[in-house]
Amino acid sequence: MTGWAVVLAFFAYLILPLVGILQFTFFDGPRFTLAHYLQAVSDREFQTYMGHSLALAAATVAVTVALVTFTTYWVHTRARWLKPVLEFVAFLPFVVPAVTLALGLIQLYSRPPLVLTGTPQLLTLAYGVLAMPFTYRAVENALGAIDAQTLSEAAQSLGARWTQRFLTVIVPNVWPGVVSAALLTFSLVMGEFTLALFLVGSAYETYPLYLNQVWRSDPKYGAAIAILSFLITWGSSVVFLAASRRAPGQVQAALK
Amino acid sequence: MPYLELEDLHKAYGHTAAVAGVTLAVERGELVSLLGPSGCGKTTTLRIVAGFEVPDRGRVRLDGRDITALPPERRGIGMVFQSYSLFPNMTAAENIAYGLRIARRPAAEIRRRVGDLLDLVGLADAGDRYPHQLSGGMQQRVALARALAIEPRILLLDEPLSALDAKVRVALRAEIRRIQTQLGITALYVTHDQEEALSLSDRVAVMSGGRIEQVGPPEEVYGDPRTEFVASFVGSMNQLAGVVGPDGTFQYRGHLLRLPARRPVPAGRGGVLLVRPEAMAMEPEGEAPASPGLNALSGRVVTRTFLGPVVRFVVEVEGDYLSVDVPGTARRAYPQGARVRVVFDPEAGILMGGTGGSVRGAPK
Amino acid sequence: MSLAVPRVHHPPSFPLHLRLARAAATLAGVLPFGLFVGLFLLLPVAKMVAGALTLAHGGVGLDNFRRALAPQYLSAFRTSILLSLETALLGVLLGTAVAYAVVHGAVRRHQGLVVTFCTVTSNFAGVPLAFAFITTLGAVGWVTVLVQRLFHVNLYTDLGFAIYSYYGLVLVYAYFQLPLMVLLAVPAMHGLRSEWREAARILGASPWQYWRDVGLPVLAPSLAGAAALLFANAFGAYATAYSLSSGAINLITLRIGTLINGDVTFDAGLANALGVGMTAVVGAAILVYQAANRTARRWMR
Repeated sequence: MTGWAVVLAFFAYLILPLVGILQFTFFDGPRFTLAHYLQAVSDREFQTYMGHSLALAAATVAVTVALVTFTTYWVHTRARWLKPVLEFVAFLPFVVPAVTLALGLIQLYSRPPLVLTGTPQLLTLAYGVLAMPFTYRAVENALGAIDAQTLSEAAQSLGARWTQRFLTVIVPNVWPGVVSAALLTFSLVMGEFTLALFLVGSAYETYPLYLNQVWRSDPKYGAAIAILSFLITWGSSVVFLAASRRAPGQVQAALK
Repeated sequence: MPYLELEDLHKAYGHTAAVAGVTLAVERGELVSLLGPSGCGKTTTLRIVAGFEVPDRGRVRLDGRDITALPPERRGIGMVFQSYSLFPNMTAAENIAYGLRIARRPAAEIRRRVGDLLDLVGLADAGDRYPHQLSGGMQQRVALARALAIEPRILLLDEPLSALDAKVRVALRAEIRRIQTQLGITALYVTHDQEEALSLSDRVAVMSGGRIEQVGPPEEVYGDPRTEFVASFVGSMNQLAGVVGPDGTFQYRGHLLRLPARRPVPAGRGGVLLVRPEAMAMEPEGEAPASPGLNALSGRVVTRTFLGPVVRFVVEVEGDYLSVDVPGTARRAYPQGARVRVVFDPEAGILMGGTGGSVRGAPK
Repeated sequence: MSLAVPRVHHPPSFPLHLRLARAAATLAGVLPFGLFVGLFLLLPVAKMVAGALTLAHGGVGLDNFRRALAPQYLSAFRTSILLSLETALLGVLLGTAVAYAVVHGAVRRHQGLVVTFCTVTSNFAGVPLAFAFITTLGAVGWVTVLVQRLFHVNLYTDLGFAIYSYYGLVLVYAYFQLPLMVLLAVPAMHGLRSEWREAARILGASPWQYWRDVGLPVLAPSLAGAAALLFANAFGAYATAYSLSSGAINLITLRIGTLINGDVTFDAGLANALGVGMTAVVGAAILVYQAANRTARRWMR
């Protein structure tokens, strides 16, 4: 009995703010309105910046997931002795909060010859660093779950070379881990504010920055686009999940 | 009066009946095994006795008292689980002491008892180790000591050896039996391993589909199975399907065999004659017939497998494949394809009805 | 008869140049990752440490650290640490209860749903979250208004509550700390074997005794580790605090942010020293987490 009470209270607490923000956007006083949401349709800036965020998220996912999956498998099979190093490195971003990472990156890359601040490329790579622990964990778990060692050896005995093994045996089977890593990275980037603020600011404005700007001047509209972005992130995740369902491997069970 | 009585226990989960009418009486100091394949209801039965499951119907009586509604912590029962039951945050000694601590026994008594129990299970030096520092076999010894510490009225064991290596299993089961008889403690032992059940128990209860099919001493369950299930589950069995003829004969694949003299069976019915592989012997076909009283089948050796103590031959008899176990020390060699004569004493056969169930009437 | 002494035969070892080539090829595979990590994680951190040790007028020294210990920064550290500790503790207590209910309690069947919900909400931090809370518990938030209407009590004027105050921050941080705790605690709860509970029962222990002697001690390392992670999570949070308090609350992340974005020329030395301090605190928390996890893994096998 108390179990239910605890969980329901928990859910209630989590729902409350969402209710708050929803009713704020749908009601002007007692009147129901969609005006604030419709505003987003004609808002060029919102669309551009949302596009920026989506592009960044996609780029980060692509780069990070590919790099981490490849490296994790490489170490797993060719350089076992590097495993502890990899584990340590993959954990390091947790120790470096976003603000301090921004601090270091700015000092390194804001002066010639290497002016990377203000570029989306730098932001993508910085996001890659932030997402790395989660990505590594997800891929590493997946590799462990499928006993990558045995599968690799079986493929090897059948004549497959390293690249073939990676692409045709390992990737399809760690796909659930890859997908989960991708989703985590995606939602992380879509919501990330700190690095975007300090590293690029208005040079390549992202959705969270825009949101921060808007709600100070037009809170109702700000709230509306916050909800919209939530939906867009969710929607993209669902689409991605559906698309990846066609990939081989035990995707269904693992994604539950 | 029996010490533990299970009276018509029933337990169902949704539409599946896990226990469908189990009745059993265990005498004081007896070790009774519940033997059967997974899903036969043996573990559920045990858990009902322990108090972790409440039966839908039926009663459990311990030393005359009805304990069916009593919670586990008040039953005075000791239990050894299959694995992972030692508290990981306590040493072996602390684990063993736990029940006594809960019962608020004086510290000196606890120390003494823990020491005695560690000696009893042969772990006198391992008291200070944590479970993750102990091997599987050692962990189960500690689990046994822990269950015995509170001087339970009855000991329940739920497949305690299943998770262990073969050699450890054999050694430990002898230990368990030794301790049980030494202490004279009543025990109920669940297992799916028939060798374990046969070697450990005073009596074996073979279970299937939530019911007890047969209860009896190991020799009886092995040598005198009442149902086809018991016959096929306990040990291996050759099944000769044929037709009962007149005057205690049995027609099998063109051979005329003699049925055991014990009980006359009406002729004309289909039946299955069961014979243990070790009850059969082999002779080369050419030789003069050994003894007129024996049943004889002629066949051809298909495979020969050396198992150590026995050599198992598979002999093909008119399309049917029979197993014949010959002592490993026997000198005769039967190459593949050799024509042989398989013989057995008619009294070694057990006749069953063709569609399951015994044709032999009421149990003795 | 001659005794032929056999020559000691050394098996041919793998040729050195081939072994080196092999090693080089192996390292080549990890090079992209190494470059990535080196350039965008290790180097920035090194730059920060170096910058902290570099004095304004040249030379190396600890003067920046001395400046970083000025009252306002010390106070910022204190507030940040306090906030992180409180939200971590809150998260551990409540999150554990929820996790237990989800794994062993009545809500077992809906575990997947709860876990998914927690995964989503633990990411709902930053600007939108601050937002959502302001619309809910701000001066004219719907809950504030509701409480006013139902109980005739104004949270702000009567109870002195403010969403952008310290305790408002605690409430908002809890929003992503609690789900994170649930996500961390659920696997730990699964590690609590039912055999332990049953063995304790049959040895005569009441539920309370079981928790006191077995349940909580076994969970303790995992929970401590989770608490450390929660602490690190709260300590490093920037966006939520920024959106909610606009700098009104003295947190160390906000301080560093102000220094980076300040209108005055960038005081690198100070900012770096503060950054190093922050990293040290988080680093300590992570070490606690690692140690706790090692113990937990040993026991839960």
